[in-house]
Amino acid sequence: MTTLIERTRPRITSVESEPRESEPSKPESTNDGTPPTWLATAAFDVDGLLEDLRSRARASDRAQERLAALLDAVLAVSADLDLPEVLARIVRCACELVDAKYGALGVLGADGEHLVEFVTHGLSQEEQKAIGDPPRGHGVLGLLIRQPRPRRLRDIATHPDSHGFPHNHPPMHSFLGVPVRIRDGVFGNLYLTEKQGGADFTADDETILVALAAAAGIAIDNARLYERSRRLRRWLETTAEVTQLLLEGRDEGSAMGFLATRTRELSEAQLAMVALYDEVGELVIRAVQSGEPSGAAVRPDAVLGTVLHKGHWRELIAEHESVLLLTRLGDSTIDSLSADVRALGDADPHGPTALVPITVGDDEVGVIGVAWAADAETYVGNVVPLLAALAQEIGLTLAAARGQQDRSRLALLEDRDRIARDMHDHVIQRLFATGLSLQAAARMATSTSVRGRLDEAVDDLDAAIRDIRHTIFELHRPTPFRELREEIVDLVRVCAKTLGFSPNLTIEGSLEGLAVDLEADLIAVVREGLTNVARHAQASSASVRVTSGDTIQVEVADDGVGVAPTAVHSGLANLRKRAESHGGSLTLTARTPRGTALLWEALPDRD
Amino acid sequence: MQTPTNAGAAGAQSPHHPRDVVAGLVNDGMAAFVAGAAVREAVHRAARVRFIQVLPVGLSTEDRAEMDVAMFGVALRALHRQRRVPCTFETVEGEAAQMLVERSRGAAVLVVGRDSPDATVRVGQYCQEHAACDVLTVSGPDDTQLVPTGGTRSAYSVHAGDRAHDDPDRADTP
Repeated sequence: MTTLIERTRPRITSVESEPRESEPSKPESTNDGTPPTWLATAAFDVDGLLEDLRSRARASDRAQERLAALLDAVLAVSADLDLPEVLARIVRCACELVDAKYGALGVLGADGEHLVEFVTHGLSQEEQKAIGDPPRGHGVLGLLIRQPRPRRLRDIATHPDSHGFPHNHPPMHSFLGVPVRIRDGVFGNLYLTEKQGGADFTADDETILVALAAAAGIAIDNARLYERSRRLRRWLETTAEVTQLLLEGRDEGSAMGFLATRTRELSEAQLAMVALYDEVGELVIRAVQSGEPSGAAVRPDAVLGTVLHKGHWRELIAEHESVLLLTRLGDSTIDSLSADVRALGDADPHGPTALVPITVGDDEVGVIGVAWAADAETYVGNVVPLLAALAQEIGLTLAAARGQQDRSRLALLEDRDRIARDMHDHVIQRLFATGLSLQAAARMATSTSVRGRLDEAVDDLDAAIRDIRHTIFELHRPTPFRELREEIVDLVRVCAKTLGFSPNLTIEGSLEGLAVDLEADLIAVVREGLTNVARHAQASSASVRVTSGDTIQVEVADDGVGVAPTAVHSGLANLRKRAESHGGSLTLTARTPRGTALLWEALPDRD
Repeated sequence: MQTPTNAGAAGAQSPHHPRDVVAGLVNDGMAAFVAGAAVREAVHRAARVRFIQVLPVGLSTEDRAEMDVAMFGVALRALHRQRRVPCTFETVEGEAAQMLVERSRGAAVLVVGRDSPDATVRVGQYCQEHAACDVLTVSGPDDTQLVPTGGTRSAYSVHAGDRAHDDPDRADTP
């Protein structure tokens, strides 16, 4: 602030040095031609001196007032970090500082040649609407863009660069424009017209406005940096949340659904989708988030599982390159990749569409697609790098989560292998040796009953050895843990199509070693629970939580209308029977503020 | 790679957007240079780049799809690290020179490969003579030549034309 004051002070002082009309000149002679007496001359000099002093004092007061007003304006524009509000305040303060009726701040686009935003003061909404599209930077406004230095004009219309006014534009004459700089670049220009009282803008006004523009540049820069850091923090939070979901055991489908939701929100987009390569190398849509479908628009979840066949998708991911597609109304052709993404949900047919590959090193994982409204063109350029960073982090997280699952599976298989080997090498051999010993003892036994008891013991040992061999064989079959988990994930994914949305699925704990009939019952509970939600609940979201510990619990919760007292509960009776057959129970409870939770519990009679 | 619409041949132009840069991708061995030059022009002008690939009529579906994807890859490589450059990908069938002249109506500049001396089909020359916009011919990574609208060959200058042919005058300002 001190610097600003110091910088502006000399220029304000210079205003005072301008010739003043009221400044008295030294008289050379009296009216009648006779030389003035020394008394008259002395009196005249004193009067002139006093008037000069008064004039200087008035000028000093005016300068002090304007300086105070400038400081107030600087404080006002610096008092907020919300960029649109900062821009509006700058224009308003500028108008007040130099008594202008109309003011505007034109923001330059990326090309540095055209205005992409025009913040006005003094025009009503009706007047702006009547004028039509905001200016892009032709005419006198363009003069400041091409030559960014302060301009003062007595009458805009008479300037050689003037293009005239559009229809319904209020008359404007006097003009003052100054560039607003941020560091080494020009952010935009402040335009003021129609000084109150019909006067021209003065050099003093220009000096004040230049000082305000300097402060405005700093305020705008601060607001932009604040907005950028805040946005970056939100993107990083999303990355952390998705990472946590994946690493704590949430299935990929649910995590990708969350990712699509947050990506759409953070990007301020109409639609976001995530497609991942599956086990057989097909690129499959795993999540789509868009607004409520209107008219004939496709429900986003109806396209889950759709395979993206076009070779362009593979090429895009293989090249590891993000791309920003942009189609506009009136284009001669429609970019088909853009159209494919936009058709997945309720998005405008035209507008920007970002496609961002998800990769980890050389590994190709999938792609994120984001589609914006047609009027978001100026905004999306800054979002694409954030999307690319997010996709990179998600790629790493997916690789880590898959690695974690693989390690768990490998550890399980190794454990099973070790158990099988121990049973084969130690338990069976010892039982076999014991059996042989008993057989030898039986041959030596003289008592028939003792021989019979020993033969029975040998037969029991044989049966035990057969059972252990069977168990060893079972241990080497493909792991049921993996199969059951995948079966539940697939089931939930299939049910999403019926429901019209993706339920959140969480599987906690190990599902290894469950008895086959318990596995079947568990699947049946999830299916029946989600089917009931689809048929009766009229829900907009649901969740499935499978917890394995001392008991096996399945909870299916929704936010629907609840269970009617008159409803037929035959399906639920079946589920209750299944629970009771495993020493468990079934409970149905109402949720607050709405919805139902089904809790199925069983004791894990593990194999 | 595209769906025809009922609109005109040129890309949508609006007083609110800088005019497009059109990359004319023809199977003449210079597609990579053309795509690269077009992206540089688009970056400089803060404009959209439209990659238009012209394929000969009569290709099989498989051949067409294969060439379509291959040219898509060329364009992607040209966009390397230029995540903010908006673009579209279009594939059309027909006579290359005429298609490009037609499709570049309303654009700021058309970028095409320069004709080799022994070329029988002179796409670059035709575009220079008939295109309604500036034409930038390319024959190597750093070898470009601009011909402004009207077909008068200028001294080499990559960005000389865009200032002279800015958006149409519009009485939008004082």
